[in-house]
Amino acid sequence: MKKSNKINQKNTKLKTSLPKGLFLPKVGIILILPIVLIRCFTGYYPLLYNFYYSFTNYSMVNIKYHFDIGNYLRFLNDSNLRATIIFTLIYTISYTALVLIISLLLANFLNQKFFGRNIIRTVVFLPWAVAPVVTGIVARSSFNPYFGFISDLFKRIFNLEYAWLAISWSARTMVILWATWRDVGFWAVIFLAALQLIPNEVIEASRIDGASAFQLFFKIKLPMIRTQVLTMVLFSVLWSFLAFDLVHVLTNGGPGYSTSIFSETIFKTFVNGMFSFASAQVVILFLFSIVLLSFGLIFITKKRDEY
Amino acid sequence: MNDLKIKKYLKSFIIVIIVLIILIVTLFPIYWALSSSLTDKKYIFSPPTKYYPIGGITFDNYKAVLTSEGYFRNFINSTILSILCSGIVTILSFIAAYGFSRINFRFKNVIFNLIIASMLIPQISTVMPMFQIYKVLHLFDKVWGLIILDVGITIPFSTWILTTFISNIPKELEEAAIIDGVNIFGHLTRIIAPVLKQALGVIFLINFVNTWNEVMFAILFVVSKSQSTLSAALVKMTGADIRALPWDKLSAGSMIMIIPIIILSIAFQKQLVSGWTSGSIK
Repeated sequence: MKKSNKINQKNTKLKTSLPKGLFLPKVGIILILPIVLIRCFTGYYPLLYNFYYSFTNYSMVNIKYHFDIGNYLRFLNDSNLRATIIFTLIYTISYTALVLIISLLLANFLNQKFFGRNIIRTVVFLPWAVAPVVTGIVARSSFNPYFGFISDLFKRIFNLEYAWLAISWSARTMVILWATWRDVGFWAVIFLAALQLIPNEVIEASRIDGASAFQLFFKIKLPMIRTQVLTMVLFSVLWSFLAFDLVHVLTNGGPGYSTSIFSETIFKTFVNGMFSFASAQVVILFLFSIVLLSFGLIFITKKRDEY
Repeated sequence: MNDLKIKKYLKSFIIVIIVLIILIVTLFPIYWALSSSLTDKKYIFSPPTKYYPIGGITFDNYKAVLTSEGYFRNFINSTILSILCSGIVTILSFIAAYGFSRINFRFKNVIFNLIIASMLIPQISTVMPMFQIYKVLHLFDKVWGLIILDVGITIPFSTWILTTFISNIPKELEEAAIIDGVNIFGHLTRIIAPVLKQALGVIFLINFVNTWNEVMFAILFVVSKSQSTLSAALVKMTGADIRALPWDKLSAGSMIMIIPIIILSIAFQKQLVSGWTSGSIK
């Protein structure tokens, strides 16, 4: 039995009333061909390429390569990769949780009318316009012991000099915090738009029924914007998993590999000439992403069915 | 009566505090970069940290970064690349979105889902085969080489959003406006595109920003400074040592990179947000 689909239903209706010649399947294929070709070339072909080479020992040293599963065996023992996977997970979870909580609170806060509210909304959106690269550069400079403002403020308040980016746990915290800084405002404004779509009657009715602020937020407002929230979580998890720009500039994955997000590690492996090892890492990263996404989708469709 | 008034003032007070905190946390890093970019070099590098342009505002840093580092060329490169890529993706994904949304053909859903699923493919995976291909085609170190790469990564999202938009156009609109004997491209450009003007604008903007900010391909596929984009030039300027950051030039360069995007974001904030929220409709 064919899976029924909104798009399918629309099309069967269209076919009977519009000129047939215009909507032949051939036309459809021509229309989608350019992007499908480009996407296969830049997306799926590389994936297959990496899959193939991950089973060889191709590297700068071994230009004449042969079949070898050493890459995958090395994977289990490599401490750098272990640190990478740990930090990637920590980063993804903390970043998504932080951004979700703060942006929801912010959106709720901005939902009330007060003087200058619109200006604040625009201000809050600004960090998104700052490229992740620039965020990384400003962040990195702010930790500089001579002219950085974070080092300076820390010195003034606590009279301590601290090498933020040289210690793994503080470096990790800072990476997560700066990444959050950049994206919170963006999602807050989007959630705000969603919150403003909630009809006033609903809120008034629940107030009359005696709902407290907490109940209003968790039981009424949140469920009504759940599509946006779930979309946000999906995209945030996906992008933080594959993030590269900020980490590369801020810490370069250091100290050691403690802030090396997966893409950064693969980048370093590739630049060091261990091509097939990098390919193996790409394959593993891709598999992780699929697993993550599947869990996410199952969770989302379950939540949607509950309502 | 007094109780109510006290509550009101307390509430206003708390709001003001929260707003202040938001303003400071959000704006301070940007402000600091701006003020540093306008401060003379000798003041920046002599401790302690400067929080405003001591010694007067000077544009020397901007002059230095634009001329001696060739940053102006990078700016032009970024602009041309972003406009080109964004234009190409917007047009191509618009066409494809119409095909996915209105026309039925074998494997359509499979292909559509594969396009969207390709967002899972990490950017770094594209690098390796492209390295070999580019070597053979001598496409290295040219800004043009980056076009197909940047187009590739922005395709899935644009196609997805536009397909949603087109699906929401009532077919009565099309049926009423269609002329006998028109071919598909005429139909698209004359009937559908004007309806989607705003959506197309938003997609163009989002792709522009994404290409402008793109780093990984920019630093790997272009080596010489004159062909680099803004983002690549900034990364190269940063170097490896945290104690030796050329903050005078970096801050000026950063401001040059983010100011156009800030202007665009402020001008088109409403459209951007609506473009994003529509993507959450499944």
